[in-house]
Order: sequence, then structure tokens, then C-alpha cells
Amino acid sequence: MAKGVIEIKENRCRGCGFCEMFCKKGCIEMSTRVSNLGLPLPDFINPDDCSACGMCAWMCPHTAIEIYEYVEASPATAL
Amino acid sequence: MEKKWIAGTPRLWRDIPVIIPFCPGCQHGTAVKALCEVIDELGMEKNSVLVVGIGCYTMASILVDVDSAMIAHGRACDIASAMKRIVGKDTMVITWQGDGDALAIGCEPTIHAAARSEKITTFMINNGNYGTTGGQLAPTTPLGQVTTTTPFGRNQDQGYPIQAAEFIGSLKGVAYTARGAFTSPANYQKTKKYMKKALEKQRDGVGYSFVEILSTCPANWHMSPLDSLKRVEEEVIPLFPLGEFKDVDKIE
Repeated sequence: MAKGVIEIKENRCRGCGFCEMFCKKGCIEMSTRVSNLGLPLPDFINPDDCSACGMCAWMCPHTAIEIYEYVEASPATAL
Repeated sequence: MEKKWIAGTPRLWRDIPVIIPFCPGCQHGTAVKALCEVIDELGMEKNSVLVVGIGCYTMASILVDVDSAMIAHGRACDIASAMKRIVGKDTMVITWQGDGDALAIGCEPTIHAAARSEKITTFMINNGNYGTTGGQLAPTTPLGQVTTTTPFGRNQDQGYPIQAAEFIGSLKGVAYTARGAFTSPANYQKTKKYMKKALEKQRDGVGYSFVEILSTCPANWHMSPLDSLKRVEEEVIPLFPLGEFKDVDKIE
């Protein structure tokens, strides 16, 4: 069960590959797709294993990754 | 289930309409992100001034959503000293410099701001060459590194690299010096802690604080981003050890 989800902003990504290198669970992989600048883009290939640890976002130099953790809905918003 | 934001773009990161102008694998962006988070954690975004020198990192003045000044090459510490004396102790004055800016052209302003114990904080990003102008020899280039002005590698004839955090820490007016890197998530958190502590020394009015940040420069090292990160870990960190070198609460 995934504990969270990441969102990759492809317009900011410069294809360095740090997210793939530092994801301990192997959730991110550089794909064969390229951005407008001709740089490789990462794919979130393994969403089920994501633990929302935050490391890919810490190491991303271009702030292209946002991490969200799944939390129980609070009673106020569940209504 | 709801989604709760954990990490990513800091609150103080300004969303600019052009692409973020750092090369792939360059860690200046990581450093700017850490600065945004640290200022946010201290709650000082309304009364911080960022004084930015000239270099690749100059875009920090646009990316960080605080007041900033872009000033003459190398003179960040001079302008910051004057600003701090004018605005008083409630405003944090931060200089954001590179190794060429702070140690080559700006060596005298940096050293004398430290010697005068100005209540400012300098963050110096060290990537071992002059990144903006195409990778020339810098004061922090390790021996053996190939640059455009040392095509056979730096040898003893061109001197030895300056370990800035240690030597500025030997001055009496300095409250805090440290050196961090972004080679791993653990180092990222440690470097953020050093940056926070340096700003706290300024807030408490202890004295000059200085943090050196090791960064990669894949474009001018002619390496892939992952190889350049490995080079920082294997070659640069043994020469520029990480850690805190001076930490005093009061300058006697």
C-alpha cells in the first residue's frame, strides 16, 4: 500500500537523475521520453512502494518534485 | 484519504516564468532551496535581506522571495556590513556568494568583515572553479583538477586550494563556521542545520558566521551529474572535510 504519491513537474525537470539515484525503493526511473530541452524525464514507475520519505524532493536541485503523504481524512472535511 | 504536502518546492521559492537557470546536476538549486526552508523555519522572511554576488548563483536573488540586492562583484560583505549597520539588529543580512566571489575578487571584503565581527552571515558555494565564465582555475580548485586555465591539471606551481571555513574560523571576530555538502539526504539535512545555526548566531548578535557549501559543477567538470556527485564524495570531501569548525556563544 502506497503511503504517498509524488508529482513530477516536467517543465522544471532538467534530467539530472538524482531522484532515481536517491530513491531507496526504486520508485523513480529515468525514461526514454525527453523534455523540450532534450533532457531525459523521470517516470514514477512504482507508486505502490512509495513511502513518502521526501528524499527525492530534498535532492532535486530544480524543485521539480512535490511529495504528498496520504493521511486519514479529518472529520471536518469528511462531512 | 487526503493528500498532505510533505516536501518539494519551499514556500519562499518564487515561481518564475522562465526555466530555472541552473545546469542539469548543478546543486546551486538545492542550496537555494535549503536557504528558503531555513529562512521560513526561522520566520524571518519579512525581515531578511539577501545580498548576492556575481556568479551562477546570482539567480538566487530572483528565486528567493525575500528582499535582495545584486551588487558589484566580490563586494557582498562590504554592502552587507553597511546594510546591517543601517537597518539594525532586527533584520538579517545574508550574503550569498561563490568561491570566486568570496575568495578571489572578494577576499579582502570577506576577511575584513570577519575580522570586524560584522553581524552578518555569508553562505559561500564552492564548486572548485569559475562556473559562470567557463570553468577557470579558482582559489578552491583541488590539485590535479583540469580547468580551462590549467589544461594539464592544477599542480604545485599554481598553488594550493584555500580551505575557507577553517581559515576564516581562525579569526577572532567569527562566531560560527561550518562546511556542508549535498551529496546525500543526510548531508542535506546536516547542511540545513549548519545554515540555520549560522543565521541564529546573527540573530543573537554574536558575530560573523560563515558556511561553505560544496556543490557539483557537471558542465565545467565535463562529467555526468551522477559522476560529479561521486567526485564530490570521493575527491572533494577528503580535501574539504565537512563539519563545524568554530561555534562560540560569545566573543570575549
